Amino acid sequence: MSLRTTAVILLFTGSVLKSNAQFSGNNLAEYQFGNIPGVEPKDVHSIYDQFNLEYRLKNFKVSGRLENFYSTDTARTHYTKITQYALSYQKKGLNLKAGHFFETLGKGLLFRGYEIKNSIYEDQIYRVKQGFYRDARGVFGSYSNKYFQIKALWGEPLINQLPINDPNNRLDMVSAAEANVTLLKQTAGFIWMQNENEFETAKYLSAYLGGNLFDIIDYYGEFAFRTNEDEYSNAAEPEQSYGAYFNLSYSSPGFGVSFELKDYQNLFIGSGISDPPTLIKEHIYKLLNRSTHVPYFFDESGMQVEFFIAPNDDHLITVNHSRSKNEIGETGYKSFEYFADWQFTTNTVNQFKIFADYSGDELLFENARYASGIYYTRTLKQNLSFSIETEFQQIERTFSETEKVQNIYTGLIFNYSPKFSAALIWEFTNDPNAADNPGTEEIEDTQHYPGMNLAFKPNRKNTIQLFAGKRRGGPACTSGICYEVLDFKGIELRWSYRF
Amino acid sequence: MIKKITILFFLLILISSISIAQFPDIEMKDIDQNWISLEELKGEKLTVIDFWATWCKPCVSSIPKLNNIYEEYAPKGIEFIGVNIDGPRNLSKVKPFATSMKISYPLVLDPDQNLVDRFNVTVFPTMIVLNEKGKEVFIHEGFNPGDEQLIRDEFEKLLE
Repeated sequence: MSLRTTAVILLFTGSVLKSNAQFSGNNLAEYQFGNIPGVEPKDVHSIYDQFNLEYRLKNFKVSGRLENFYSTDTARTHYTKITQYALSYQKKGLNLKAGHFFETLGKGLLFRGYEIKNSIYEDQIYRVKQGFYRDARGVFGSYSNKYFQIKALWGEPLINQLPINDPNNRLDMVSAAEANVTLLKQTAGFIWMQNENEFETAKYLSAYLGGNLFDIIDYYGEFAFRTNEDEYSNAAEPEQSYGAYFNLSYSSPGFGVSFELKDYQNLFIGSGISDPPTLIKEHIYKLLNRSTHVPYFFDESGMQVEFFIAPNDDHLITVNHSRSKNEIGETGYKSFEYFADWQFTTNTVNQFKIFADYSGDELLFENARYASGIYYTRTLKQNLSFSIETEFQQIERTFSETEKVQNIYTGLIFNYSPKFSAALIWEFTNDPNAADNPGTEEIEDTQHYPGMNLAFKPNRKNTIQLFAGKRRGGPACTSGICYEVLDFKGIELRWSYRF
Repeated sequence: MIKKITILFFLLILISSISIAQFPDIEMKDIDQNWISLEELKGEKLTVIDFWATWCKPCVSSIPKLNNIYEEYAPKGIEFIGVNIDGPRNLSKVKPFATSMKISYPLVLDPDQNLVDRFNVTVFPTMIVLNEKGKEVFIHEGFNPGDEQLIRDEFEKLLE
């Protein structure tokens, strides 16, 4: 077929289909100059790019993702790779996918895929950057209507701690099916799942019941357990590998409460394909987000209760309490947290956020952590505002003797929405775990982290962000997923483009 | 051969660039665990889809403002759909939080981010406005003081 004939056919079919077909996508590019403070070489250039493209025709979608990473540090792996591709069909209750997909079974006790949009993950061992997601490569199908839902999947989940071009980053093979029935606002369901890898075949069943009572009370309970013996380690009998999760909530205008219970035993499946609810408060405040308890899915039990009080549009009070217990060997470790947060507005132009937190985590030898902070935002003109943010935390840590360490965060932010924002950030710590630089001979007992963030949005499609300075890393939780962020010193330029 | 493929590729892009999207014909669970069709929630003139999460600071700040905007513009033919993207970790808090905040527009749950991918959303909150044919006519990412007036101004323009 000649080019001319093909073009005519394409234009004809294109004009017929033009009411439904479209390309869309986005690109995220990041350039960094610098490194982890104290790590040689200091002057590393690196570029990461993620390009997502999809073509939609009626209810069909074809999508692909291209990622590439290059660094002047030759010790790091460089790659250019199509890391995702998928064909999907979605109409009303029918959803079919082939290729890479993200899905959750039940509440994630057995299996959950996820993606943290717009985030770049850098592993501290390989120092390779990649998008932060855990997809599965295979096939997925579901159908739902008012009375029932059925789901089936077969796929290889990604081990996202390994570089994206590592040939061994998909060692598990998951087959699963889920079905539930809904009647009178009550849903009962079952899940069957099998995970195979080179060490063993693990089989699981799960049952759940959830629903709504009198419009104001919602509940959900799920119990998942292993049905065959652990062939790999023989460490756990089937009945010793299970997960139980329960939540009860009350919702009314101005007041809401959520109560949750968990008991997870040997529920770390395969390379870590499950993601049970953690029952740990996910904080929006920097220092608290960093001090989060990381669940230990081999043995973790506990509870969480959270209250929302909103007497009017200008006030929101959130109170949270959580407790958890881990048993490692013969030793039990407890963690707890009490948190209260009050957000309010005065005279329509002054916004305040005030919080107080008291917590402890025996796994980290942190008997007590006290934290508080205040965020103030003042609207100067319609879309011009400035914010002052400050947080303080003291941690009491006991190994052989008790040491008290402090962390401080402050930020000054000017915002001309939606075009431009500028932030000056300063953090301080005298925590030896964070302050000491292993790359130097002397022992540093304090560390300052000054930095500047600029964001420019020339139009609705493009966002450009610049960071310069030193940034503190540590554990971070976003979108329910916790991971380790590395310290950084240098310049970072990000460009996001959506089309 | 490469020349031909390049020409065809650009032709395809040209065709697609003049195309019109359709309103998503899919069903999702609402916060009361009912399966509902997005088409049933479509606005007469415009449909506003707001993607948010309980752990997102600007999302929480935006909710009372969006509530007021919704009450003001619903009689003018603009419907809102709130799309909550919380995963299992925070899902049990979504309804108590949303009800306590008196969100008056319909809320659907998107824990696996199917609708997020459909609209190519990468930051939260993101507000996408669709016209009566389902074509995206406005997008607003993030939420800062004063944005409520920018949104109102944009709605007025789109309603003209």
